[in-house]
Amino acid sequence: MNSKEVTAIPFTNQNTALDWRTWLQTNGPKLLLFARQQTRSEQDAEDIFQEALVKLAKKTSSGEFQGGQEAWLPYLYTQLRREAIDLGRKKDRRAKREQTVFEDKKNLEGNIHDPWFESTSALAEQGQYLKEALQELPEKFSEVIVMKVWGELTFAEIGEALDISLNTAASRYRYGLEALRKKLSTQRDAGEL
Amino acid sequence: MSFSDQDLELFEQELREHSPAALSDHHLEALELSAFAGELASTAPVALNEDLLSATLHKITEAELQQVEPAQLETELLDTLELAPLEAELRALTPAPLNDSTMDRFLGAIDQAEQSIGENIITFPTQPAEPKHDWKWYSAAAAVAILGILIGTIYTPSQPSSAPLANNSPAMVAPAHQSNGDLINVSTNSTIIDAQDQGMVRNQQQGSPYVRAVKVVTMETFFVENAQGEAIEVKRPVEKIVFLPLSSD
Repeated sequence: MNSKEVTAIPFTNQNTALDWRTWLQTNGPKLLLFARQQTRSEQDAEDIFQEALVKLAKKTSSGEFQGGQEAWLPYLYTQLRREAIDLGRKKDRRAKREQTVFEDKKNLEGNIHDPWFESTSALAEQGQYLKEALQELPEKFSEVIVMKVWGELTFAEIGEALDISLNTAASRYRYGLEALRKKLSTQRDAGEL
Repeated sequence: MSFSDQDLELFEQELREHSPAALSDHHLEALELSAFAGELASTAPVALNEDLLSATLHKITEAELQQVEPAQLETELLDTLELAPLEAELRALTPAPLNDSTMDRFLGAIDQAEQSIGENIITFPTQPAEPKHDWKWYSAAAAVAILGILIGTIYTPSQPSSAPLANNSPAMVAPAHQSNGDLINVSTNSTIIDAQDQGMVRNQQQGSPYVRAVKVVTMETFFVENAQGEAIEVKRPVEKIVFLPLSSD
């Protein structure tokens, strides 16, 4: 019988050998930062990050993923945003059903204690203010800033991930930075920074 | 030849009687145009006023400039010039690293995802593919072999055959409607009774990188006749793996 010729063996390919831990140690922080910026809570950020990673792992394992490892980062930024949008819709539906914002409120409160930036840094306090300032910015500005400054993506890559033009990405970055500068200046004037 | 005074007088009188011929229109027009051209040639052009000249040139330049879109400074350059200090300030902050529990959670999820893909993947054999044979001949051979064994245990053959009833080799298989000992294979048919998806298989040959493996279970029925013309029906299930091409998307 032909089935004797076919042996079920675990699937292996070159991606399996990649050291995910090393890759995540390098790229995980900036991706998680973006996930945090896209969601309302730390838990949501980790959930969408994990979901995006699982999808990437499945694609690379099955050979469906187009491109090499250098394409992982842009893919994950795009996927994180999609996951965040999907999660937001689910939460909105649930919130409507439950007629309560308790969970979101709890998440936002809990969010304060999750540092977005290295807390060991001498700039830890500034990081906390910056996190708050970024959260207060319109999302379309803050997401571009996070992708550009800490994700180190080009405007072309940002435009592709967010489905906007390169010029729009650049404009949003500029307006976002200006808005951020005003917010931080206000805080400086108030002696908070 | 000489003329007398009288002759000259008569000739002069005759000339006076003739009026001069009038100038033609063509001659008159030529004369008028010639005079006008001379008049024009004698007229010097009026020099442009300096202010007028300046204003004209200015208007031309302005019009030209209005048509030219001003070159925009590169956004990157503007950012560098105006927002560089803030950018530097932001870059000084490092995103918080993944904590150990989060890292372990992610790695576990990745590992699980990769294994879930592996569960549905089986590979082609590494040995070279065997020559393709018509399964019907195998089926017929197997049926004849089974029948031969059964008959051999029940009946004593009147004339033992020296030839084997069946063999695994396709070359020894009796095709349909051919006699094999006392049995004649009349016909065979096959009915699919089950099919199960076995997942994707890496295709080590040319074409699509993956194919889908499907386990197909069929019930094969063989109709044979013995030497006495009695029809015998034999059924047996057959399990096969069939590979279907996958679309690239």
